[in-house]
Amino acid sequence: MTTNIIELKDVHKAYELGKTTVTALRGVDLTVGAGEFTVVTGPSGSGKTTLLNIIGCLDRASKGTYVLDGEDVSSRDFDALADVRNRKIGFIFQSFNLIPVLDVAENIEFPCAVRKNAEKPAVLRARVEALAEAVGLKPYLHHKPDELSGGQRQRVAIARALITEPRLVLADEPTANLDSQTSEQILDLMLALNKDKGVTFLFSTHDPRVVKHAHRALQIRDGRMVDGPLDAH
Amino acid sequence: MSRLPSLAVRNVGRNRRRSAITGLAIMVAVILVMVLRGFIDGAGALMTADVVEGRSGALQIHHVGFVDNIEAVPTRLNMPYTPEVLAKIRAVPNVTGVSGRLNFNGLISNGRTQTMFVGRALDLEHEKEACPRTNVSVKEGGHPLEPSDTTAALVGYELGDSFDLKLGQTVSVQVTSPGGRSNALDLSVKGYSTSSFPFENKRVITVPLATAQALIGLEGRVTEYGVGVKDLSRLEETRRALQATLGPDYEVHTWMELNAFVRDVINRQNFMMGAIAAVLFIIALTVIANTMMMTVFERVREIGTLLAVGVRRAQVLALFMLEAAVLGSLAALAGAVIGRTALALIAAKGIPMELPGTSGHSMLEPTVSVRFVVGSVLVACLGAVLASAWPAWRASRQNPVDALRSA
Repeated sequence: MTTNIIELKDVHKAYELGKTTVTALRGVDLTVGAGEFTVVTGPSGSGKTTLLNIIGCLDRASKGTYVLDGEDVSSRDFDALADVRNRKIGFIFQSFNLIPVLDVAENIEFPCAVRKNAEKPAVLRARVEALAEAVGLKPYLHHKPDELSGGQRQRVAIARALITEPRLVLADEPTANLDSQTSEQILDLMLALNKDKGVTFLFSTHDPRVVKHAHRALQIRDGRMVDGPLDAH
Repeated sequence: MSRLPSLAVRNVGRNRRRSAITGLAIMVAVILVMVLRGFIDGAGALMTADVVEGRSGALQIHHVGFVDNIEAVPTRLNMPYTPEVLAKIRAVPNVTGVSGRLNFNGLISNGRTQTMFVGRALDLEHEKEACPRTNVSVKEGGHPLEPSDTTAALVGYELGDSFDLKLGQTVSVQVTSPGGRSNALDLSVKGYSTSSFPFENKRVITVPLATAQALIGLEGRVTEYGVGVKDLSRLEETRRALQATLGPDYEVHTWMELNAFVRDVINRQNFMMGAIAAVLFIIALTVIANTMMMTVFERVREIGTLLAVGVRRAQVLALFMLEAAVLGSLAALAGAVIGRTALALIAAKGIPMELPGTSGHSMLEPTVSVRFVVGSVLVACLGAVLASAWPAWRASRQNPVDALRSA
């Protein structure tokens, strides 16, 4: 059984913008172990988002290898990567990205409900209710996203990220759109889930409170992982 | 996959005003196509009924070679008109009745001038068996022919006018028998026949069958049998059965084969209908394509989210096409219900009309078949899906990274 969830070796990413080539990552090596609570920080344009996109299988490296949970996903096609995302990765977005026409329960179960061989609705609904209970949303199961506060919406997003029982949860600035009290609650919730369920969390953030709670803080600058003290942003 | 249909239905209700406008375009197109089809089918049915039930009968039997003969009315190609032959024809399945006719031509004279005419002799006792609605339209003041009339005739009203004929006046008709003998007979004018076919008003005189048989020397013979049928949809099958029963000396034709004018009018109407329906559907489908394109642009980030959580490109494509299908089918169904109801209301009242090729005033009752209604709904749904194909494909090809980054 592998203990590393993420293994990046010499990962490069370049974009063609007209006649110009923009290099976002320049030989990134990164290993994240199972159950870690890791943050990636770095100034805007440092390659943080590109790194997370590659780790999240939303994008592919121009060069280098990426092994996710023991599977080399570097050269998988789009549909294969969609399956990997669905089975192994949960996403938490800065703007929550809930589907407005679905209620809380439906939003949470959505990644499982669109699978080819989805579970029986009753079994899935029981898991949704258990997760909703865990994130404190049980009374809101039939509310639509626009009937919830920002913190509640992010809890829905967390539950949605966890419903597939992923090996890795990626969170892109999850507290950026929340007030400080709600940010603390969301952070505590994720820490508790990390501790209780052993889910691996990888954050991209500028929030020092998130960095403070992390097991490991990584810094990226000009497309390279760097050692040394974290920048204050 | 099970979540997608329900998501598609809900997405249709998301921008209600836009969905309503798009649905309205589809609905109006379906209603217009149905109402138009209803009127065209109603008019076609009127013309068919007029010809089949009021003029020629569904089928006509002639001596072989009669229809293609170079002579206008070859009386020498006649057939026996006996109870045995009639019984044989009546015994064919789907046949409801049969009546003999004699078509001939000759000269008509009022004593001062003369002109050619085309004679139509009817067996007034049996004609309604072949043509239940037969009723030669007679101008006011005149009277229809009776079976007991032996020396009376109905004269086309324009022919009567040109001869300055008065009701009851005697005219002399002269014909040539199949053997080449000239015969003449005085007939009294019992009325003036009117028809929407100008030729019939200008050239045709109508007489009882026995009168014509005696005049031409064709007692017990006719040149044509008119045959009525129960079920018009089995016309071809009945034609074949009659042909087999009567043998090679006879030829059996359907009303469509012998009434090219009516058939052509119906075909032209169908062509026009098809062209108008195509234009209406294209307009409606353009509206759908536009709506779906706007929907895709508005939901780029949501598409990114769907892709991020593992929804495949094919599923995104299916989702957007499903939305178009839901919108298209709901609007088309509403259009079908409204269109059918409107037609039923109009048909209940009827519209008095005089159609080209018919023998007089008729009541137009627009109607459409269930098959056409179902077909229209299916075409609208399928069209909606096809119109959404390009926007849906665009949605499914989004790059998740770019889509998630969009505002």
